[in-house]
Amino acid sequence: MKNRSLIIERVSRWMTPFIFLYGVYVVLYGHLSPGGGFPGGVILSSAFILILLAKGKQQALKNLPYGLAKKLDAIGALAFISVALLGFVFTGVFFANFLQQLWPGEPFHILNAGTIILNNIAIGLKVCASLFLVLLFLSILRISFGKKGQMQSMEDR
Amino acid sequence: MTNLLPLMVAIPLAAGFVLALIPRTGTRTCNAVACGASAAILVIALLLFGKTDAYQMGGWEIPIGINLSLDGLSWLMLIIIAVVGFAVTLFSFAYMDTYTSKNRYYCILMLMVAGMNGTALSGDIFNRFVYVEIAVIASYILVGFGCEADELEAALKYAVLGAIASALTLFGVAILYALYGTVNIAHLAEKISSGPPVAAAASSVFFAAVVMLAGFTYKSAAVPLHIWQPDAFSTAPATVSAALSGALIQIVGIYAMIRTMFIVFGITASIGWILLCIGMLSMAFGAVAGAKQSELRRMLSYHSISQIGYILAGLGIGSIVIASGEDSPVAALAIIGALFHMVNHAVFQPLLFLTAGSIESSTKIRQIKNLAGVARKKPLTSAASLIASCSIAGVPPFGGFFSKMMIIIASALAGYYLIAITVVAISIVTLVAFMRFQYKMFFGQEIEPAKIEKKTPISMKVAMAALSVICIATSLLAIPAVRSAVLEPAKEAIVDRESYINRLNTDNQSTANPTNYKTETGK
Repeated sequence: MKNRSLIIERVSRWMTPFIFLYGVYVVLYGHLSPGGGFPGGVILSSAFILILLAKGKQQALKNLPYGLAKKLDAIGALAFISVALLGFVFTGVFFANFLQQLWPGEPFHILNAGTIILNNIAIGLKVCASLFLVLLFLSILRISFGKKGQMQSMEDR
Repeated sequence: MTNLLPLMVAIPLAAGFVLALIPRTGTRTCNAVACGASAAILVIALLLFGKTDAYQMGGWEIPIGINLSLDGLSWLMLIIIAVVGFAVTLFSFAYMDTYTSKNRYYCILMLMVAGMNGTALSGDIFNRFVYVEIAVIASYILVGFGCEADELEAALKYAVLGAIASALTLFGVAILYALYGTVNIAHLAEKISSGPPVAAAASSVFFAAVVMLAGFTYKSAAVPLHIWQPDAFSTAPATVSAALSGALIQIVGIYAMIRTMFIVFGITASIGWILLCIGMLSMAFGAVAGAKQSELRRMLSYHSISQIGYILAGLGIGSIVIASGEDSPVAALAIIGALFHMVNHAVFQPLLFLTAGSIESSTKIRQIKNLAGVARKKPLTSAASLIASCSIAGVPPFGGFFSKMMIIIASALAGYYLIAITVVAISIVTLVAFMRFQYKMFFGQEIEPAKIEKKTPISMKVAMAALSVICIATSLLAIPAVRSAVLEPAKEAIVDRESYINRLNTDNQSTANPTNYKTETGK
């Protein structure tokens, strides 16, 4: 990408950590305040997407490599199912909130809702990685029409 | 035993995401994980035989929580998915080696199985929509898996039209939720049976029924909405065609249609006539269009439309008889015939597609006219193909004969002689088409000997042999004792709307809940 603006580059460098931090906050406090795994994951991935837009693909892939994003995508989903299956193992009911018994916790404190916080973290990972991957693929795949009029997808840059 | 119910969805989902983590080169690990997951589903499905239950997810009681419900009909669907899924997974061991990234193929296949199992089990109309979407979106990807131009075209057509169909279904769900304030199937059925909330809403309920019927008709590939099916089934990998025709279109199409029309809305004569008309149209169109196809798998996909037509026609006759309130034995015969044909369709159609895939992968033959002499080179494949063809064409000792016979007898007993004669005529057309195909394969004049590029791998042989044995064994369902054990509970689940409502409403002390466990400990 040519003609990259200095202002955008500088400001995005300053903004990114705060966006990321806010995403982590929304994921972790999902059971106490508005938010949760999905919105938090979207905010987390928007930090990476800002890097992608402002500094280009190389810089974004340095922050979140393609292989790692793919793995996080699968691990997030697996973690969510594991929490549900652990409920099945400990109490005999699928998706049971088994940690609620062990650590009832204080209301309005971060460790009080049992497995919900774990589920939020799992969803946050999954959504962050998969939204980043979607944007990454939109940036690297381009539809071009070849000689035979067939659609070809090719990597650009 | 019934607290194993959620594992039917959880195991394939977990296996799918584990498969996504395995690197592309680890094909053996992929095979092992996928095979293990399919085998586990098959074992659990067999263990669940004869059970009925309403399982509360997370221990939340039914008006608040989400539930899975198991009855005879759901069980029949689960066993269909498990058998087809296992055979397809086994066949994919060698067949999918020609494609890259087998891990992704298995991952998406497992997600599709999870979605179908969830569709079969869900007792909640919105969750069922979500499960249907999981299964159907996975199938869009699988159809376009090879990334050739025609595969992508078929997948795109399927996906765009499928999105419209899904939107229609969701629209129906939204109307019902707006009118009745619940999405639980049992609650909805109870409220709909006691009349609309305001008198003016009666037409809205009918509109919701028609809109949802249209969505499910698309997914079952019945005639006015079939255009995606021949393209998708003839270009996708053969294993995908087998899984789609054997399980997907039956579960997310016909099963979801049955649940919605018979349980949620309660069957009426007008819906029954719609089902019968769609059924007769697909039956006739599929058989006639299939008879003149030159490509093997395209012919098979048109015949799949035709067989779906038999199922819908059986259901239609059953519901017309139920709605007119006359003899229930005739309705029972029609519905059992339709269910029996669903079981048969779930066996012979995958078997035909798998044999076509086996022929294609070792000889590169796609056209029927080039099939001459294949029977001598590939005895097991052609024997399996012959068994499946006999079953689909309705040759007497095979399952297909008995199920078609039941539908014909039921329509004659209900007084629709013209329909009975048409059904007989169409099964003769089917028989002729399959005789042509088998004659070519066994006795055709070889112009140049078919080249066998590689031998049929053992995993393909096992998958085809197992399905052939099941295909012969389905004729056992015609024996009254076996039929009353397997098909009667499924028929009861369709016809008996009251018991579905009562089971979900009163079964709050479900066996799945441990007695000392409560969810409301926060107070």
